[in-house]
Order: sequence, then structure tokens, then C-alpha cells
Amino acid sequence: MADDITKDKKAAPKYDPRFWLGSVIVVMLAFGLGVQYASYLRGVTAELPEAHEIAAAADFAEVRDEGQVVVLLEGAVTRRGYYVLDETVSLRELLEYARPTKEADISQLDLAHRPEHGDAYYIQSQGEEECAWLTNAFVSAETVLEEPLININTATAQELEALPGIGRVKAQAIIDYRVEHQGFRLKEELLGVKGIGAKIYEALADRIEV
Amino acid sequence: MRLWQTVLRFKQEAAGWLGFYYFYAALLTVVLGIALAVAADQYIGFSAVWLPCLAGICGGLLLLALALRRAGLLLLILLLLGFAWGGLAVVRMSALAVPVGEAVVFEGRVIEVLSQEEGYFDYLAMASGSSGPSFVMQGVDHNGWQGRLLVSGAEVEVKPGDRLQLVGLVRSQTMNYNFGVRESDYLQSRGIAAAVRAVPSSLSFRRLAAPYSLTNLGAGLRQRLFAAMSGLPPLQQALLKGMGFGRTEPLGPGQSSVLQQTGIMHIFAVSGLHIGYVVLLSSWLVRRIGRLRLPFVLPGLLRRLLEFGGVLLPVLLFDAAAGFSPSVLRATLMALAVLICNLFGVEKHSGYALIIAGFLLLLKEPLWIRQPGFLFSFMAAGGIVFTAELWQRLVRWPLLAAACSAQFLVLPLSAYFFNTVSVIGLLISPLAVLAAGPVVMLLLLAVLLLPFGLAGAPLAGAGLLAELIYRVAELGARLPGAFTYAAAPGLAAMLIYYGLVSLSLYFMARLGHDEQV
Repeated sequence: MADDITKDKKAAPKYDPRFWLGSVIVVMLAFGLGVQYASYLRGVTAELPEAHEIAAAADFAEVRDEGQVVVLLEGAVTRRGYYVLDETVSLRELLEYARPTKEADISQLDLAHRPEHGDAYYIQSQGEEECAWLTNAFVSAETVLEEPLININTATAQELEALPGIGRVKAQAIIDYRVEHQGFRLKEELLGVKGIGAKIYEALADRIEV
Repeated sequence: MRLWQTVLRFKQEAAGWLGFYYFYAALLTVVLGIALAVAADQYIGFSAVWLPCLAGICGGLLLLALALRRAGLLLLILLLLGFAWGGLAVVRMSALAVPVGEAVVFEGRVIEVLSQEEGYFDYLAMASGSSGPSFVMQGVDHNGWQGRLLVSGAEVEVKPGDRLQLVGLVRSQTMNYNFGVRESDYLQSRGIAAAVRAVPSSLSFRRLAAPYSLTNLGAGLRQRLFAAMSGLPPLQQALLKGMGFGRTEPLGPGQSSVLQQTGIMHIFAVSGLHIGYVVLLSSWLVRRIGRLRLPFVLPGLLRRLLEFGGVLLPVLLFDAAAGFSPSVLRATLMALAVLICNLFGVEKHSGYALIIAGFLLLLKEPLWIRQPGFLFSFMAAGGIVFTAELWQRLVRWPLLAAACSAQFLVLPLSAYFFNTVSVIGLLISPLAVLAAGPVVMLLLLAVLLLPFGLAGAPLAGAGLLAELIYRVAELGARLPGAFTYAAAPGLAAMLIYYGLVSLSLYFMARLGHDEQV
């Protein structure tokens, strides 16, 4: 009798084959749907792309219409993207068109500044951490792409030697100054380093940060 | 499900294992879900918020199905998943955050240059005041949005497969802008989110890569064949380009009308007819090569695999030359299913191949369910596969039965998209299909002879035959009552029509089965 019960149990599987077949299709579809949904969310809540991801920033062509410049505007503005502007257009006019959001912090901007070809501007929101690759300080995207900014408070002598006009002696002088004065608070303090004059400072000002 | 089994008991008797039917029912349920999502978006709009809700409902239903051990509940889950799949495609398309008039930085691949079915893209470019070629790109914008854009007035020559980067202005968004007629639908059915005009062209474009691809190879082959046709009269050239590669742009407006009025436009879409002939020709060639005496003996499976590859490769090359339109892909997937069945010695069933092809294509491109080419192709093929046998009881001639079965299923679609219902088509269509066979064969022969410079002779023969078909159609269109113009039917009328057709088919099938038993 007990044998019969066992046989009956074997004869009636817990789930019929249709169940397994359906489950396989359900699982595969659900997986595909999950992947697509994640991809959709990435697009909707996209983070700012890194400089090296925007190939166009490195490819601001030399060929352009006479009297025109191309700039990239990112951050806390309603109309973000690349702009083709007349050379005479000021940053104020550009921002009037691009409409800064309520959160935008434009207090530090020089609104009379005329954007130059290849400039990339990141309009920061209030309280936002500084963007890694675009700043309000009008850093050329090309410059940023070529090499990352060098922090003169943390850079090694070798890294400092990579800057224009800085050799082994001047790099050591910068490090000595840094140790003596417990770091740089402003980039301009570099002018206090022995051997670094206004010309050298101008050449490397866009390549350094504190 | 149990009720369904009881009603369809003749099927239960005929089949060894019900799971076989269940599998195809599951695929059709997903397709139905996709169709419902696209319809829902059309009438009430699909919201992204629904997606997590649908996921929650599906999870709950799955637990319920596990607890109750009811396979029928899984079909409901599949319906909801299909609904979510279609809805996600709609939502992704409409998520482009760049408004009209704004700049977009877009990087991606060119997937379509001009339309394979209609010459809309150039028309749209003209409408938006652009000059230069138009094409569709698939890629990512500077905000991380992934999708497709129509680029018009590019002033650069592109090929499918080219990787480009562009900076452009969004001219119009297909989700909230109507071009005045049905172009907005046309673009949406291709998943195109917006029309973009590149500015300034010299700066915006950078060809990142032009890979040597099957698509380029096919396009090159097509161009060479078109060049070989240049000696033929213009009408014959246009007809051959249409019948061989589905290019309808060379046809004049009057010529297209004749084809629509006589219901033979379908021979100008690359479909099962073409793929069938390619398979036939390549199979014959492979068999001839297989009979050659080789110094070594190939193992059985390897031999079958080589034969499989030998037949499949020309099919893929032809697909690339014709462009990967829905009807081409549908026919190719069905041919592939048949070849795989041959490879493993499994019984073939074209109906199941059609269901699998439809499921796979909609999984890849859910919005194709709104595309005329997709709908016509599947409805016509479905009519022939599922109803031709029944029609043969009324009409003895198999080709006429096939024409009737296809025409009756595409009748509402023809009225909806072309506002034309052809009566003469029932008579002319079988004749045209019969005559189109040799035309396609001659064109394929011309492709084979192209490298030897001997394509002219088969092309001349094909051209004459194609013109003969056209002249007969022209004559037919002039007959009184040959066709009638009809208003586009509404969704409810179409649903009632297809519902009645399905019911009558069901009762006819049941009657036939009872007679057999």
C-alpha cells in the first residue's frame, strides 16, 4: 500500500511541464526588462559626462565660420549643450538665453566675459561641489582634456616638472615653499616662489589648482 | 486555461503534449501585451510610473501562481510583461530631455539611410527647410539618453554602419509634434524620438569609423546591380529596383497608385517570395557542390552544418542588399527556422516559425507593431500559413486560395493605410506572384553573373517580364469596379473584423477536424 502511494506521488509531479516552460519565458523576459529599465534610468538620471567621454570637446575644429565661436554650457541651466555664438556675445547674453535655474550660483561669474572658441562652462548650483572637469573659471576644454589639473599642494616634483616653464630646480623650490608656508591657499601665491615670475605663472595658471 | 482546453478539445486530441501549444500561446500573449501597451500609449499615454507597479503586480502574481500551481496565471504575467516591454520602449523614446530649438550632442551609429518603404525622410527634410541627405542614428546624447534621432540636412554622405558624432538643433519631437499628416506615426513606429538638424555641418560631423560590414557589402552589391540596369528603360529600372530590392522611391506617383489599386504592392516588398527563391537557388548550388568527389569524407553533422551555412550566407547577403526591413527579417527568420529544423531533423511548421519570428522581432523593436510594413507582412503571411488550407476548400486553385487568404487578412490594413480596397487584386495578385518568381530568379542570376560582366542579359529578360506585369496591372486598374476608395476604419471596426475572421476560422477548423475524426 505504501509503495502505491509513492508511485502515485511520482506519477503526479508538483508542477506540470507548462509551468516550467512559462516560468523560463517569464524569467528571461523579466531579466531583459530589468536590463532595459536600468539603461532607461541611466539616461533619465544621467550624471555629467567626464571630459574624456565627450569626444567633441577634444575636437573643436579649427574650421569654423568667420566670427563665430563654439562653446559648451553645462550644469544648472535650462538649455544645456553646445552653442555657436558670434564672437561679440557676452556670457551675460549667453546665460540670458540658456536660462540659469533657480539653484544656479552665478555670483562669482564675470558676466561681461566674452566666451572664446573651445570654452566649456559648468554653471554650478548653490552648495554643489566643484565639477571635476569644467569650471566657472573658463577653463578651456582642450586644456582639460590634454592633462588633468595639477594640485600644487599635493603634486610630486615630477608632476610639477610637467608644467610649462617648470624644471627640476623650480619644482623643488615650489615644494620647499609649500613646506615652509604649510601649503598654498591661492594659486597666485606661486608668484612668491623664487624663480617664478608673471610670465611663467600665466603659462601655467590654467593647468594648476589648489 | 482548462476552459480553453475543453473548447479546443480537438487540438488536445491531435497533439501529444499540450505544452507545445502552451509555448506558442505564451509567445502570442507577450505580443498581445506589447500591442496593448502601444495602443494604451496612443489613447491615454503610457507613464514610466506604471513600470515599477507592473513589476510589483507580476511578482505578486508569480507567487500566487507558485502557490496555486496554476500555469494559466503565468499567461497573465506574460501579458503584463509584454505590456511593460512595449511601454518601456515608448517611454524610452519620449525621455529625450532636449526641447525643441535646443542643442543636442549625439554620438552613435547610422542605422538607416532613406526609407526602404517610402521616401519620407527626404520629404521631411524638405518640410523642415533642410537640404542634404537624411538618415537615422542610434546612440547616446550628452545627457546619457539612449535612442534614435532623424538627422536631416546633414551635408555629409553617410552609409549604414558609420559611427558619427554630431552637434545639432532639435527641430521637432515626434512625441509632441505632428508633421501634419501621418509622418509622426511613421517616425514613432521606428522609435525615432526627434528630428535634428546638424549645425554647423563642417563642425558637427566626425566620422568615427566606417566598418567593413555585411551591410556595406550588400549596399555595394546593390549599387553595382543598379549601375548594370542603367541601359534599361526608366520604367523597367524602377520596377526591377522595387521587385528585387523593395525600393519604391524610383516609382512615380501614378505608378505606385496602379500597384496599390490592383493590390500587388506586396511584390514590391522583399518577402518570403524573394527569400524562398534565394534559399532554393543556394540549396541547389550547395547540393551540386556536395556531389563533388572530395579526397576526404566529412562527418555527417559537419557536412550538414556546412550546408546550413552555405544556404544561410547568400540569404544574409541578399538581406543586406535589400535592407533589413521588417518583411525581410520576418522571411529570413522563418527561413532560418526551417533550415534549423532541417539541420536537426525536426518536423517543420511554418505557423510556429511565423509566431517565433513575430515574437523575436517585437522583442527587439516593440514599436514596429505600428509600422505598416511589419503589419502587412505578418498579416499576409499569417493569412497564407493559417487560412490558405481552408480557402482551398472554396477555391480549388492553390495560388488563388493563397491570394484570397492574404488579401482578406490585410483588407482593413489596406483601407487604413492606403484608403484603397482592391477587388481586381484577387485576380491580378496570383498572376503577379506567378510572374514575379521568374523576375526574382533572373535578378538573382544577374547578381551571380555580375562579376563576369554578364548581368545585362538576365536583367533585360527580367525588365521585360516586370513591365508585362505592370502593364497587365495598369489594364486591370482601368476596369470598372476594379477598386474602391475607402475611409480609414477605426480601431473598433478593425477589431470586430479580425474577431469575426478568427471565429469563422475556428469553426471551419473545428468542422474540418470533426470530418477527419
